Amino acid sequence: MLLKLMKHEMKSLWHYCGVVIICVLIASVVFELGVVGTVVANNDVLNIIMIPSLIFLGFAIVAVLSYGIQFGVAFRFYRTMSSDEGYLTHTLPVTTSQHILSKLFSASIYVLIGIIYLAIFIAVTALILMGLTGGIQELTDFLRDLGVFVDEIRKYINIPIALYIIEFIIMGIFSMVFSILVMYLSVALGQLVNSHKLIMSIVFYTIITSVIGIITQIGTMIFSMVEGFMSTIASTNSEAMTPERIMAGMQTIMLVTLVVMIGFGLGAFFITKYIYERKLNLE
Amino acid sequence: MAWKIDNDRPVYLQLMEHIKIKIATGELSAGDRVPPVRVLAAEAGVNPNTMQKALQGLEREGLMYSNRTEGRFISAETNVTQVSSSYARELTVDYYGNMKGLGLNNKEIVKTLEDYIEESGG
Amino acid sequence: MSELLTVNAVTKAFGRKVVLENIHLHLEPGRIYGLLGPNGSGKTTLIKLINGLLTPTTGEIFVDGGAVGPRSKSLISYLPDKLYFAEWMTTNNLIDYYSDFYEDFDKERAYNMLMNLNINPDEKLKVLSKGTKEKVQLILVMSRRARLYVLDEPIGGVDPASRDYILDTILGNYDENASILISTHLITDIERILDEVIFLQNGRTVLSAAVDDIRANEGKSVDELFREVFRCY
Repeated sequence: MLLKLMKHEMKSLWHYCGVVIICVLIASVVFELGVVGTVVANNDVLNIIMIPSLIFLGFAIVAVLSYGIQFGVAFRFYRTMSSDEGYLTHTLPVTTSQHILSKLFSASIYVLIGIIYLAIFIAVTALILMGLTGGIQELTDFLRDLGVFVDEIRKYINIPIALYIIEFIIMGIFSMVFSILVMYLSVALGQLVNSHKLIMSIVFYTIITSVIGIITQIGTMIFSMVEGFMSTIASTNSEAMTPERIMAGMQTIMLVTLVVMIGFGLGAFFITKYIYERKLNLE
Repeated sequence: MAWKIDNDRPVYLQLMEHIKIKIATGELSAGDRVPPVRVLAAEAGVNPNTMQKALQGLEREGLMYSNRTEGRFISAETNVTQVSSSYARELTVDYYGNMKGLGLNNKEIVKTLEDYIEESGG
Repeated sequence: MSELLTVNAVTKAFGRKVVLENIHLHLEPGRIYGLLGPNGSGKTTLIKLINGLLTPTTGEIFVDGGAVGPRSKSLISYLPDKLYFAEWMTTNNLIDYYSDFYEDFDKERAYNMLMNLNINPDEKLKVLSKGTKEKVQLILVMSRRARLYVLDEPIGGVDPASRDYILDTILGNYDENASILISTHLITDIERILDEVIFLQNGRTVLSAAVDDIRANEGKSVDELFREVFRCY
C-alpha cells in the first residue's frame, strides 16, 4: 500500500511543483547563457546592466526552487488531508501513518532533487566562471587548495573523513525531513480550527519555525558561552583552543542537533498522526 | 419503464396487483415461467426484497408456485377468467366506494358509467 | 456476526454541543435503508462516524464485526455530498486510482456506466459540468462490489432522467450480501426502493420501521409521514 500511495503521490506532486521546476530549468539556461555572454563580451556598459541582473536571477532561481518545492509539498498535503479531497483520502483502506509516511518520502525525494539541482547549478556556474575568467590553471589551483584544506582538517578529527562526510549528509537529510514534518504539523494544527484552515496553517508554521529559530539561537549562545568559559578557565593551558577542540565542539553540536531533530521530528509525526486520526473534522 | 406505484399503499400489494393484471390480460399464462426476482424488480423499478414479498404473496394465494431447482411458475390451475373477474371485483369495490364518497346515489353512479362507455365508443 | 453495521450507543459532541445522542442502529445484509431527517438532525455526522471521518465521543461502531479502520473502509463504498477529487485529474486517472486501492473495484462496470451517460473519461474533471462531476463520483462509488454502500444525497442536484438512471443503477447493484444506506431529503422519489427507513431528529432516532409497514399501518407514504413528524409550525 505504501508503494502505491507513493506512486500516486509522486505523480501528484509534479502537478504542484512541476511549473516551478520547469520555470527554474528555463531560467537556469537563460542564466548560464547570460553569464557566458557577459563574460565573453567583456563590455563595461553591458556589465553594469547584466551583473546585477544576473546576480538577482541567480538568487531568484535558488529561492524560487527551494520555496516553490516546499510550498508545493505543503499545499499538496493540505489539499489531500484537510480540504474536500480529504473525503477521498481518509476513506481509503489505509492507515494515517501510511498516508503521512508516503507523503513524507515522496516530498523528500522532490526536495532532495531540488537540493541536488541547486548544488549542480552552483557548481556549474562556478566552473563556467572560473573556466572563462581564469582558465584551466586557476581551476586546478583551486582544486589543489581544496585538497590541502581537507588534508589539514583530517588531522584534527578523530574519525575517518568518509564518516565525517556521511555524518554531514545524514544531518542534511534529517534536517530536510524535519522541515517537511514541521510543515505537515502546521497543516495538521491548522486543521483543528473550524474555518480558515489554510491561513491558520501558515500562522502555525510561522510560529513553529520562529520558535525553532529562537531555540537554536539560544542553544548556540549557551554553547558558545560555555565553550568560552571553559577556554578561559583553561587559558593557562596553551592548547586551549586547538583545532581538535574546535572540531570536537562542532561534532558535539552536530550530534546534539541531530538527536534533538530526531526527537522533535518524531514528536511532529505523532502529533500529526493523532490529529488526523482522532481530531479530523472535514467540512 | 418502471411500474406505476402509489406512495401511500404498501409497495408489495401493488406489485401483486400488477402481476395479477398481467395474468388477467394473458401476458402471463398458466404454466409460464415467472422471470427471476431481480429481473422483475429491475423492470418494476423496485427493491428485489419487495418483489420477493409480492411473489411470495402470490404463491400464498395459489397463483404461482416455486420449485427450488426449476424456478417459479404460474400455477396450472390458474384460471385466467377467475383472476380477471376477482381483480375486476376488487376494482369495482374501490370504484363504487369512491363514487359513493362523492355523494352520488346508485342511479347516478350507473348513469355516469354508462355515459362514459357511450362516449368512449364502447 | 450476521450484522453488517452495528452502531452501539453512539454519542457525538463537538465541545458542549451534542450532535448525536445514544444512537443505536443495526443494518443487515441485503437490504436498502433510508436515513431521513431534516437539516441538522445529525445524518451527515452519523455517516461520517460510520466512515471513520469522525470518532464517537462515546459508544462504538462495528462494521462486519470489526472496528472502524482500514478494513472497514475497504468494505464500505462511500458517496459524500460534496465533490472530493482533484480537478486536474481525468476520469481515467480516478478509475486507475480506485482500482489501485480497492480490490473490489470493477473497471468494466465503471466504463459501461460512463458510456451510457455519454461521459468522456479522457477529459479533465474540471471541464465537466457540476452535474456530470457528481455522476462520475456516483459511478465510481457504485462500481465497487462493496458490502455496504453509504450514499449521502445521491440524487440531490440531478435532473429527473438522470435520477431514474441513478436509482436503476442502485437497484441493479443489489446483492443479497450487501446493503445500501441512503441519506436524503428527496423521499418521494426514493421510498419505493427502500426496505426500511430511520428517522433522525435533533440527533436522536425517532422512528425505525419497514416502509410497507408504515404504509399499511399509517395509510400514508413515508414522505407524508415525514412531513407530519417533522412539521415546522
